[in-house]
Amino acid sequence: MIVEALGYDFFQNALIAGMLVSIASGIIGSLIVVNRMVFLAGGIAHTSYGGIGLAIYFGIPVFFGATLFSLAAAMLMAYITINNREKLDIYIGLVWSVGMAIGILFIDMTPGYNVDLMSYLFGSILAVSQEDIYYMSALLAIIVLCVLFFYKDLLAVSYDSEYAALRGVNVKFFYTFILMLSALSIVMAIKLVGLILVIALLTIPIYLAIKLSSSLAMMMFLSSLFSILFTFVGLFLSYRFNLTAGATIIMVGACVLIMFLIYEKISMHYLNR
Amino acid sequence: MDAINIKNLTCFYDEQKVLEDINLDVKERDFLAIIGPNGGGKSTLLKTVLGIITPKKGSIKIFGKENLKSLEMIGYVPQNTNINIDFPIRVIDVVMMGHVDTCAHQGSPSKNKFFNIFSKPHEIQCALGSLKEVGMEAYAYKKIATLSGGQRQRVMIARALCSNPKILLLDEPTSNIDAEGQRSIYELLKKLNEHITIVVVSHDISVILEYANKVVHINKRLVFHDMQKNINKVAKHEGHFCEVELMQMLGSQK
Repeated sequence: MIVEALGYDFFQNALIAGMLVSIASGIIGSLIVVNRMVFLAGGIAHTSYGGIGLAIYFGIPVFFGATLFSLAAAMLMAYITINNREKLDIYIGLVWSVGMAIGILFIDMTPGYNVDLMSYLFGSILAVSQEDIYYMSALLAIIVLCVLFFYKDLLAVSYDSEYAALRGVNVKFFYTFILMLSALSIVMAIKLVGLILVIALLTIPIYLAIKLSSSLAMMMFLSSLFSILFTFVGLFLSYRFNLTAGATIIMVGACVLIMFLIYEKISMHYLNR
Repeated sequence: MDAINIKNLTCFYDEQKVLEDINLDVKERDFLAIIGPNGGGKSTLLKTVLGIITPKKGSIKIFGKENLKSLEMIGYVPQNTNINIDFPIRVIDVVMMGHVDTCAHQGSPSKNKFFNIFSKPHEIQCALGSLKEVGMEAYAYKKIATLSGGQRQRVMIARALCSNPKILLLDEPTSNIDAEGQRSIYELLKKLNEHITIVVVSHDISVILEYANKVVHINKRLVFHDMQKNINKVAKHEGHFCEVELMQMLGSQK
């Protein structure tokens, strides 16, 4: 069964793409979670639909259009929330819905055959092309290099931004920077699980890893591992039972998380006796 | 020379005057306590000294130099150290964040700063030294989440000591700690006071009185009290007393 699946090009591509996305979302998800930016990232994910609509209307590669648009959305989000963290939810909601509305309108205006909306909302991992993989690799390389390059600063800002500012770290720059890196990893993850389910990929593996890690780097590494595991198991299950790949991957992660939480509860209970 | 010299300092926060015409001299190896009501400007004063807040008027000198040019001489322990308790980080990594990047303050990019995921041996040695000073070296490789409030506070003090400061500023260092832990923190500060000037914002009046040699009361304006002159009076008073009683006692001296 598994061997049969591995024989197909599309399945091999899906596995490679899944791995690339998992590494990116493990690294960036860790940064997002420790900086309490989960819903900012959710906002960027949905806003990126505007980029998909624009790209289809103007006939440029959809992936590339989505990348530019979500980078712009990330910068906009950073700009309006940096000094208004108490009104954060209003702005996220605003950008979130306006971005999606722009996407829908532009797809409406696109003449002729209308593209499959569902594939962007819920992912289309089994339709990953060779070019997609090159593009994803490039995005992942950018993410990894940026995080390695600025690791100390990212750590300082994430742990205690006030103290980091005192020590000469440009907190506003890194706040924007983290959101822009999130935009890149979100665009990658849209292909795998779709923009609605991106949040799950950026939180479930991270929630597991945070408890087992003693450093940010270790958390990034473990999150990526968990993510790869969920993606592979999810892909095989979706192939075997003919299910939507993105949703299956998320459910695999959710089941593992629930089991982990139950295990944790029980072991705590016995420890405290 | 004065460790800290503040002249005619006036500060605004959102159009509102928080500090007005503050004058304060802190001598080397003083143990200064800053008391006053909430919203009276205590934290603002610390943050102005640290250069986080820019004053409207007046000057702050650290050992005769402008405060923004001598930030590396100041160690800072912020008020709320309960943020991000779940953050996956070891004690020693927190302490190493205290290393000052002096180049960044002077506007030029620092050397060897990028791509250094792994810390250099001398940084680790320095961090271990600071931890030893606060009695926490045994916890260096523990996760910060496993520590108690008092232990975490010691780690924050170690972080501030990491840059070898001449002055240590603490913003309500014992606000989340039980009575016994509070005392041990102040004992630690007393020990550090042998070679470092200490400025502490606090509500724990009765504890502060045993340790501080100077007290200032800040409520927009500043009132100075030299504890040496009042110490007999305070010592006679047994047990705890509130801020108002203290102010009456100190005030009646004049």
